[in-house]
Amino acid sequence: MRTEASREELDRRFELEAIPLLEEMYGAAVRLTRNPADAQDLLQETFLRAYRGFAGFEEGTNLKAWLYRILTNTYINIYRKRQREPKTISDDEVEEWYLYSKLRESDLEPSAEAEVIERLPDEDVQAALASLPDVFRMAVILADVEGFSYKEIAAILDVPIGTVMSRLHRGRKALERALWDIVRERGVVRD
Amino acid sequence: MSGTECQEVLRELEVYLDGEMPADEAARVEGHLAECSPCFQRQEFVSNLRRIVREKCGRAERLPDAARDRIRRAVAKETSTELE
Repeated sequence: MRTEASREELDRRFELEAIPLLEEMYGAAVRLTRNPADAQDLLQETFLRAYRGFAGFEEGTNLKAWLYRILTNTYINIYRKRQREPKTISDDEVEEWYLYSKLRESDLEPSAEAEVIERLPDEDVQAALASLPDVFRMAVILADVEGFSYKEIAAILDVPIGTVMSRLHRGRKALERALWDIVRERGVVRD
Repeated sequence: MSGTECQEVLRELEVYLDGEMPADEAARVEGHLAECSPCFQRQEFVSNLRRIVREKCGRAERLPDAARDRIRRAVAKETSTELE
């Protein structure tokens, strides 16, 4: 049983270490829920759960990754149930080097392939990412936006590293296809 | 440049760019990229694409003060409940 003093110590550490991450975790919550109201609810639930479980956090380990784990679990348990069942992406659905090849085939200046994506409004790239089925979207967000390693993502999502790599690979391919669809819709390049 | 070597490097490029490759293997990939322009261009494309996605999707979000206050109050309430 915990003594009151150690609870006080935990409270002090929670205030000093976890609370300053509110803003950053809010960004992650917005990326997951894609709407500020849900993101704020998710953030509150995450921090309440983190506070209750803070005694279980091992001091000196990665607090940000620990909070992400609670955030993604809370999101999966609460918010995803409201949504339709996620689709999956089959391995052969998108060929390798899809976006690169499509852009290369278009009438572009040499080496301008990535610039086409760069010129898209932020909202378009966000929409492409948002179109991915949840499990793939989460893997891509954790790796490519938040910058976590395979090992950290495996711990956050509680899946083996091989699963992280497979979800990332398929998620990134699906993102390329979604980006190409937007590029084509915008009439930026000729198909 | 050999076709097999290119295929191998392109297959491993994702893990290489993720920084998850052992140093000796990464050195082999780098050696190939330095000599093979088509592979280098693909590597540049993927690494630019990753940067663009990170920049466009990772913009900092500002937590509204009201929401911050609400969350801090909820945590404080939890604290007082525990102490009761």
